[in-house]
Amino acid sequence: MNEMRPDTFDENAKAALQDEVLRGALTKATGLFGERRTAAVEEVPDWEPLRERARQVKEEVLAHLDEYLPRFVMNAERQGIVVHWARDAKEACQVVVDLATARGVKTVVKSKSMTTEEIHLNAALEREAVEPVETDLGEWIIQLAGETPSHIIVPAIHKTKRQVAELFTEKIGIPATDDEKELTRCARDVLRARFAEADMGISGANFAIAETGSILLLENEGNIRLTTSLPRFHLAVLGIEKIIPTLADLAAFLRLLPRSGTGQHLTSYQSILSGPRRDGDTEGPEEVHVLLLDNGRSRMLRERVTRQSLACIRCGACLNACPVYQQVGGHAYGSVYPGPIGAIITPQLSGLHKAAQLPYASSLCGACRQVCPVKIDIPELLLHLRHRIASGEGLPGSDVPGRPLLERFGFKLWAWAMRGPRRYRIANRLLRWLAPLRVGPVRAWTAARDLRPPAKRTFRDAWRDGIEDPS
Amino acid sequence: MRVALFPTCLVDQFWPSVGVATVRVLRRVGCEVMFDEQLTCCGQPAFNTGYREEAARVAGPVVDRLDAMGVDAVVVPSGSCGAMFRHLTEVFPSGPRADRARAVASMTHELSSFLVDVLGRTDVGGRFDGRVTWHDGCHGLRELSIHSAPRRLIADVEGAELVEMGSADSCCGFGGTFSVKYPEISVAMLDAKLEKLPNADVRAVVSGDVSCLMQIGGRLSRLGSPVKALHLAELLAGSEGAS
Amino acid sequence: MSEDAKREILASIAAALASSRELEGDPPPLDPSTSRCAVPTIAATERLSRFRGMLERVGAGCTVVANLEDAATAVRDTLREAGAEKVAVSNADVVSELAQRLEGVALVDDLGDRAALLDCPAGLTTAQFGIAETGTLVLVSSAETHRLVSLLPPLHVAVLRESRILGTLDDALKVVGPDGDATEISRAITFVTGPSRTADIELTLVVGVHGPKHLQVIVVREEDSA
Ligand code: SF4
Repeated sequence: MNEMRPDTFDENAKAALQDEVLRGALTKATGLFGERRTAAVEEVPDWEPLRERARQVKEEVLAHLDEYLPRFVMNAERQGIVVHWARDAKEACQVVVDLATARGVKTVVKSKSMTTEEIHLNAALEREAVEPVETDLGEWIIQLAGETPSHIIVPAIHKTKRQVAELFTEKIGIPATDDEKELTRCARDVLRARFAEADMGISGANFAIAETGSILLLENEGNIRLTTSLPRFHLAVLGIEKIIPTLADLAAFLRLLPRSGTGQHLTSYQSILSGPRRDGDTEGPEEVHVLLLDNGRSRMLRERVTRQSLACIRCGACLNACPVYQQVGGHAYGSVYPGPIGAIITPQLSGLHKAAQLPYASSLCGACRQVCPVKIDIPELLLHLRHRIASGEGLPGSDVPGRPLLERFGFKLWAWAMRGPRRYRIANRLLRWLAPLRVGPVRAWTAARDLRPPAKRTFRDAWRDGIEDPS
Repeated sequence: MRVALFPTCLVDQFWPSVGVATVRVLRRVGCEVMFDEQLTCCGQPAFNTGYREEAARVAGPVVDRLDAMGVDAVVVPSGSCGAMFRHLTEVFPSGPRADRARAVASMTHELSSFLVDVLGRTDVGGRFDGRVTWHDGCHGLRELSIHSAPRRLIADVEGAELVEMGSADSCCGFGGTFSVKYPEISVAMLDAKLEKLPNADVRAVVSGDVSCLMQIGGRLSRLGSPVKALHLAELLAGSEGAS
Repeated sequence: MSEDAKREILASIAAALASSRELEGDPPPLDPSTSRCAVPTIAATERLSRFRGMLERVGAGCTVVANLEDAATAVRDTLREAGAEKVAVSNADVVSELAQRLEGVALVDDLGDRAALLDCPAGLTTAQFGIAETGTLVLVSSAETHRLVSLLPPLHVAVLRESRILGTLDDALKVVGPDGDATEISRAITFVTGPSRTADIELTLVVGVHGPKHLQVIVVREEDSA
């Protein structure tokens, strides 16, 4: 499979639109999650105040991250957690590889973590002969298939039961079946053995609590509980934006996140983890480490508008609500972070020049903003990024993307024409003359849609002649 | 009440009958309608594509003129352009135009919301024979909270029956320059929406935005569908034939 | 390397925020009126029924018994129904007491013996708290060794005293937090709401993927039973 990149979004999307299986799966999944979310939200009478509270808590932390992050670190260290830092993906991978090899680790069990995917940790571990085993069922399927996730919550959303069955037959030698219970049971057996032998567990974290130095992980399967309690060494990799002030603040997020993501009132498990086992304990990892990753996040703090992107709690609601995502799915975005959140985060993390298409991959319909549990104004951010591209200003810490010259010229011309009544009239004539030529945008429009011909008599003509009431 | 009509560039250039219908409806409910040739475009195409300077250059004279016209309200037959007037405060964050932009934004109303929420009218005397379905334009719906006003207006049009489609609030895929930057996605979005058109013999998809209607109508006509795209103003004016 | 990274990241955060404060000012402080407790607590008399209702919603079983004697019967019945001849037991006193009354069931009580735990069809623990709002069990690791017993076997039987059922998530976070019962936060606090589940294959719900397939909660009403 070709690796998809964000700067080929147009090509990726076209390919996705041809994939009927994918589109069927997307329609089903986004529709189902959308409905479940609506039902779950309706149960909460104070949904809007709850969202507002969560937004404020996130903004409070992000606007004072210089205080909250050190507070988290201090309390985590007090609990016996070893804290590491990484400026970028490469450094992060190096830290993890060094920790693993220093302990002679051969097998790592991993629970779903977008942050480790962002830094391409698996490839880095494999290069050092450390085998990473994804243990979330969907992630494991993807890993067996050598693919990348297509949805934040359901990574293998693009695969049918039959495809999974064929994959299992090929890779783990089970007899053909099309019973998802049987497939799941086989996965449990194979992965139990991997859990039993693993010397290290790597997880992400949904939240990190400054007040106690704890991390919190949400899940349904139980693989995170296994990852964080069976191996003797547990490492959590998290972005510096995951901090929330206090344990009490969790309540709002626990009410918002599962409802927004899967439409559950709560996921099956939440683990609040605060350090390694103590003397006399017979369970829990002997070592717990946390790796804090920047990788472009700190520069996003510079402005209120970009800072909001760091409030994301990765619930996936905006993907399900997005009419573009519903059509093209996650792979088209060419990034770990797909959908609306991906369209604003990828260009900021990887550099505007590497993902300049993504801010335009939206009709600005605003469905994402409406469902986002932390009220991120995604359309505002899309507009902001478009402005930074069109104006040539770029973003701090990112190369300036090439400016679309023809488009720029077009808008300059347009602005000239719209500025006064006389020029506007000339423009109308030009438009009427150009439209039938079917070039540029007109051609793009008319491939599958008829274009209403520009009017010979415009509204202002009618006005000048006088508008009579019909008798 | 003296109102200025901001017809929008698309209505002016592509669908003038909507502007004419808007004038008639407004007069019918007792408004004195003003128009000025300087009222060209709100700047939205440029703003939404990232060209804020160009948007400012276009919207500036419009704001000045609307402010100077001394009207009680500005009426726009478009939720999208209506929402753009709110964004003008971002286009003109400071300076003398900032005050004017704020003043103009606060007296600007999308047509259906002006009729129902400002004037308190739902029966404006339209006539239409048959069933119609309603498409919520995204910006009207999500930025101006326009949901019930157009439905109440349609309900009071003599002879018209509103049949909701399952996907009234899903995007039609237009999205300004999006529709030509990513034409395949844009059309796929629309087709997904149109799949949920009610079977029940609907004569027209009605909306408050000419932009959405160009998208919806352009596709319906390409597919050879008998269903028409109709602007709310035309339905209310009872001048469906004009399009 | 990590020291350099730490210094640089903190400096970068400080610089970004300084520039933001200069240009945009400090953001407004948290508005206290957007209260932390959006959900009013649930009255003690209503907690059990709410708790039970929520458990049933997520496909967990709930038996309410009068005393420890009856709890033992309920545990025995649950094990028999599941065909479990062995049960792993945590180190809680109540669990030990119950275990004595489980004639005919082999006990696995060496909590360090991972192989035995991995092989065991059932696990018996208590829960430190319940949460009525969500039908959740709260397992606090400093009070009991039950991280693995509650996780590895396909059947998890949890015994909970009715008086330990709290109202809301907020109530639970308060008691397990640093200003609650504990002077220091416990190493692992686990919220359990129903069985382990996945919908990763074609969105079809399957229970028991990595953790227990079945969760049976036994609520004991008698107060002085342990
Ligand atoms: S942006 Fe909002 S809706 Fe989208 S994943 Fe993040 S938190 Fe969820």
